[in-house]
Amino acid sequence: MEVDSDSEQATTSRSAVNARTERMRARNRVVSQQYRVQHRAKTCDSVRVGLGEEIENVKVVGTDVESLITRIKRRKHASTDELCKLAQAFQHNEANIAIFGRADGVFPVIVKELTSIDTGNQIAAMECLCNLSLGEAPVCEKIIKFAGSYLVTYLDNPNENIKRLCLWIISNIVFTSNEATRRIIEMGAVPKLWNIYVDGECVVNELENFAEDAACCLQLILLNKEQKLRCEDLLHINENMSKKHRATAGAEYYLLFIFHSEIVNPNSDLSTEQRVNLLRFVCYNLCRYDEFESINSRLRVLYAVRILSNYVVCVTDGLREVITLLKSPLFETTLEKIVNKFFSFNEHLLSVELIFLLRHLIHEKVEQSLLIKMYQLEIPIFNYVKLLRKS
Amino acid sequence: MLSIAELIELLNNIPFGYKSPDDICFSAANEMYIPKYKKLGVIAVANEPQEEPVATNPISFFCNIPGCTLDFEDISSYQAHFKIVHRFICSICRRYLPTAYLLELHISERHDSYFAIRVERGEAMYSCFLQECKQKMLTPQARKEHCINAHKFLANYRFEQLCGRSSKTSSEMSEAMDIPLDSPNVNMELSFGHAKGSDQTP
Ligand SMILES: [Zn+2]
Ligand SMILES: [Zn+2]
Ligand SMILES: [Zn+2]
Repeated sequence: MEVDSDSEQATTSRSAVNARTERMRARNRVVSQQYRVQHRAKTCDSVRVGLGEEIENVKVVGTDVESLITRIKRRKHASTDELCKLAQAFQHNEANIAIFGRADGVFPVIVKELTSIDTGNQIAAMECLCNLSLGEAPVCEKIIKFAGSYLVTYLDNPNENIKRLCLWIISNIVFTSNEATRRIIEMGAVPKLWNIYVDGECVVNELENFAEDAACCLQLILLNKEQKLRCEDLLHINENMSKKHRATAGAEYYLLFIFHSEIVNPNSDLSTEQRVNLLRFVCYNLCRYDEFESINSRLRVLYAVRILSNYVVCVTDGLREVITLLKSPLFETTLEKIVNKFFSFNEHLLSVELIFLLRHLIHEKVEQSLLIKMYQLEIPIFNYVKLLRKS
Repeated sequence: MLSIAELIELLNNIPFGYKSPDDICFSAANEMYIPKYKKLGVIAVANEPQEEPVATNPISFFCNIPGCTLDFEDISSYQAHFKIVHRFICSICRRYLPTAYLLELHISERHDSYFAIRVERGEAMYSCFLQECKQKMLTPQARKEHCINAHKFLANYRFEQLCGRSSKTSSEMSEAMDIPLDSPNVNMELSFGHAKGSDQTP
């Protein structure tokens, strides 16, 4: 794509947005190249990679982690180059992470670089922590202990590299350690993560990737049954739930968050605006997804069914609201058609959840139920009794 | 297909009512349908030399901080702009803070005389370091304790020293920090100082 210099004035049109994204990429490349030149580091673009995985074009330089630790401890300072070497060594081999994790007095040096004023050094220190977070629970807990408050603070940092690394580190840590998850919740990470997640002002551009990274952290935190959110976290989610748009990045996780934070519960007191927004989200997911293969569809469909099932028992007249909205020109469909569509996926676990939903749609006095036309339902035969017993 | 009678019989065996997300009836589907997380690190990959011409293209550098629309001719003026405008420097004492919120706290607590008067009147004026927490404390010490107890912040949270009434003289502050010589702007008075002894492993 050619970037016409005159196009800089036009910032609203779609093509200008693309041009802007292109230029942002170009700029990021140049910025990181600049750091590389300035700091004589051999490195540039960041690639995400698992522990011990090899990547093309990257030669692993054997780094003596122990002598590097001794050196940076003595100087109470680590250069960008040293931080990069450490980061590489951690990614390469878990033994290096363990050596670092056991060393005394070396975390404060990394933390000091993390809070330095040199952005290049800050980023290198973050990369170091990111690869350290590939380690086991004790190392992750040490990261939280020494750097947790900065990780939480930097979620608001305007530098996108730093912010993104924060999100990556937090997700690795909460995946690894219950204790670290408890502490990151206590440090107030959840409201900040939620703010990043719902920030959808931008059209599709790189900034939106933050929403997916934040979604990843939130998902791991919310699915952790041991660690509960604080009341203020739930309140924050409740008050800011309507800010997420159903077509923005990471929106497939939205109803999962609503479900696992129990926003819809027997005592919940949702405002009309909250109910309308939530139901539109649910109906959008119910209507727009015709397959059950992609992760996106699975999450959207499964959680729309779960939320709906709870909604109709928790909200007075909830079922009528849903049926009316589905009939409206926005969707022009019926609940029976939707349920049949999902049954036709022939997924036994999804079908069990649909049975749970039907339980809530069809009340005791079945013959009198005018809302759901049972004769229209096409329910595949699975051994539901066995499946129900298993679950 | 299941007949209506079969469906009714099936439904009669299922309890009616709200289901909590922790209910075991969801476990199997969670296991099956929720994607597994894979831990990933980050590696900086060397650029191929042919990418160098990027710098020779007349690309203008626009600032992509939300709300800022400035464009720059070259990388150094962009970097200078970023440092000045977006690194949150206090216009009065030239100290850097990492976020807009912390700069706001710094300015009111260090440079706002009305703030000082209200503190003297005994009002709880010191806001928590977490923007989302609405608690206000009577003294910086109380806030520090609040952050340590309620949010498990580090006892030597560095940005704390840039807010509240300055208890240290500036010479002590600059002694406590050792900015590496190769970092930019060493000539400016900076104060990401950390308390003495903070380098010890607790
Ligand atoms: Zn700017
Ligand atoms: Zn100041
Ligand atoms: Zn607080």
